[in-house]
Amino acid sequence: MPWNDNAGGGGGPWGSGGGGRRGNNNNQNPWGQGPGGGRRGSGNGQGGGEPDLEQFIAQLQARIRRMFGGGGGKGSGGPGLGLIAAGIFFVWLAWPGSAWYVVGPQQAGVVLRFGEYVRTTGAGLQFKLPVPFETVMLPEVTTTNEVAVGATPQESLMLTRDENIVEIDFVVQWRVDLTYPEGVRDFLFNVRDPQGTVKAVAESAMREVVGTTELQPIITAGRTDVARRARQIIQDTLANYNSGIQVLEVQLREASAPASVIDAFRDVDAARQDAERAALQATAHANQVIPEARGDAVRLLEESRGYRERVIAEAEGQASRFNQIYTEYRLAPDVTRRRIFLETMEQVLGRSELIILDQQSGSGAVPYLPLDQLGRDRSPARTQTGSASRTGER
Amino acid sequence: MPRIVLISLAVILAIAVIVGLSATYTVSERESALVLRLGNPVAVINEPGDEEPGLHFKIPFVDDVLHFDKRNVEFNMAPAEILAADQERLVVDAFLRYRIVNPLRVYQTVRDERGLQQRLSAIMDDSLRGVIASIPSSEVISGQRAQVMNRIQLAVEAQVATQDIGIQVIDVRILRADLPQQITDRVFERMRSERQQEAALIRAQGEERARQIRAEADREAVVILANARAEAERIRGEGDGRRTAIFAESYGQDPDFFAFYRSMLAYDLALRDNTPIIISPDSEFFRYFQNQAGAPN
Repeated sequence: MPWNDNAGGGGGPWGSGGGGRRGNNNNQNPWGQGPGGGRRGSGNGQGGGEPDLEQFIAQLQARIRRMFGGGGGKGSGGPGLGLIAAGIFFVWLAWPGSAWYVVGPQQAGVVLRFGEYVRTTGAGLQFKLPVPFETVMLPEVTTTNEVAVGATPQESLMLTRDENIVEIDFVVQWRVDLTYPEGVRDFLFNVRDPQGTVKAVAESAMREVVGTTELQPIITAGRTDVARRARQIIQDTLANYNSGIQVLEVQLREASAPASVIDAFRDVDAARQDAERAALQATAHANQVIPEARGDAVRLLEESRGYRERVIAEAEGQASRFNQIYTEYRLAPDVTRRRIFLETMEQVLGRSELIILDQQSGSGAVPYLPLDQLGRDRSPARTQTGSASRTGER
Repeated sequence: MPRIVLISLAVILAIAVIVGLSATYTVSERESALVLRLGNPVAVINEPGDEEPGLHFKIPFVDDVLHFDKRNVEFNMAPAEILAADQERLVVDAFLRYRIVNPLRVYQTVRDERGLQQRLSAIMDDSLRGVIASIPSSEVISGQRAQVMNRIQLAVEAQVATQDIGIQVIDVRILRADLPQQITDRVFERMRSERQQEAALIRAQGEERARQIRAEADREAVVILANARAEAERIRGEGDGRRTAIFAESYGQDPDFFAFYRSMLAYDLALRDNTPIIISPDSEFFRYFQNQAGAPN
């Protein structure tokens, strides 16, 4: 067996100790014996069981004798013992944290004598009784600690007063309360697991606040108010515990509708924009229609005023013309009357297609008049201008 | 001889150290200690109200010292489904904060902190169910959460007092009071449809407002125009009236001449070029046509 061969040869994994011990162990199970032999072998270096132990004890005794011997017997070992005692004493005092300690600017040094609070010290190098008598705790008191709530849906989804669900993710910043003298003591001795306490109290407080507020304010203008109220409850509760914890700030990182309904909420915002746009478009329409109507109104009024002035002027003109003719007419009514008649007939008949029919001579037969051909070369335009100019001449 | 003296000295020293160590114990600020003398409680050190932390002595190997945490400790109950008064199921996660004030009673009733927490679990569960069963779910979730917590705390305190387990209940708070998952889904569904409804309403209201604005503008325009037309007619009437008055004044001087004159004017204006006119030679116009004397024919 290769395994046994290796063990016997002394080159096996269990070292030379196994081989050096006893030859008759060779046929035994290497698992059982190997390790034991090896350990013993390496502890000694020289091999051999009982004699080795005896020798070791003897050496130890000799060493002890050298140490204590002076004090007990001859007195010649005095300086050795004193030296060792002094060394131990020196190490005891000099060991960091034993008789002196350094308090950082962010820390407070709280000294306990056998577990009993004795004093609190400030920053810098400080002294105390060495270790079994006095121990020191160095809590970080000026550091701002952060607790985040809302990392998981279970933490972040909260019910509002109107039975909606809001997603809230917030951070509480706290530190040891230094506003009263016993703050550090309370912090160290009154509450187990400050960070966990702050978190549990914060979540409970936030749910309490959210539960009394409606959804809309939480996700819009009421955010800061929610944070402020939660901060107040957290602070009051922690003060009630005499926890020595001061809540600095509660910051709402997120306060919105849950992810699965956010689209519907966005659509409401979009609807507001749509409504606003519709109203603006209507206003634009109004802004166009009303001034147009005003303009039309002014045009109508001006037109009518124009009509009035024109009609009056025309009437005055015609009346004046008549008056003047009438004045002259009165001087020679008959002649004037006849003149006017003749002049008018002249005008009218002069431009007309005149057909003179003698009723007496034509009494035998009815004359033929081609009525459809009579008006053929008439032109309305010419007639109008002609008549206008002719009347104007008179 | 000196060797033996030396060894016995060392042994004595060692025994002295061992005995010395086992004759003393320290009690920290944050704990109190119960001293048992062969199982018989003889002293409680550093109880609340009797502060004596620090180094203390006992009889070695006879007295046994048990330490109890004196701090404010959280006990968080596992979330439980609880029926509210309106038969709605709520998942309630509550925690309790307590302080051991009587280590002896704790030791006697529940032995240690683990036993204590088991007992508290039962008490909390019982109190929670008792209180919440008498309140509608909406009150637990929202409304009067602080009051509900207060009632639960009173119930827990009553049980703690009855069982006298040596602790002081500092606070009971509901961490979560939520609806179970399938109801949560329903809430989401409802929230979504509420928003859809709201969006539709807002859009409709926007449309309504737009139409209102348009209608008002259109009406205003119509009114402006109508008023303008009325005014225009009045002004025209003014003109016409003035014209009639002018004519009446002027023509009224001689209605007969006016009739003649105006007729002449009208003939001239009314009859256009090339109007066919059939006229008899007997007419007034042709009075002198065949007879220069002008005698009427």
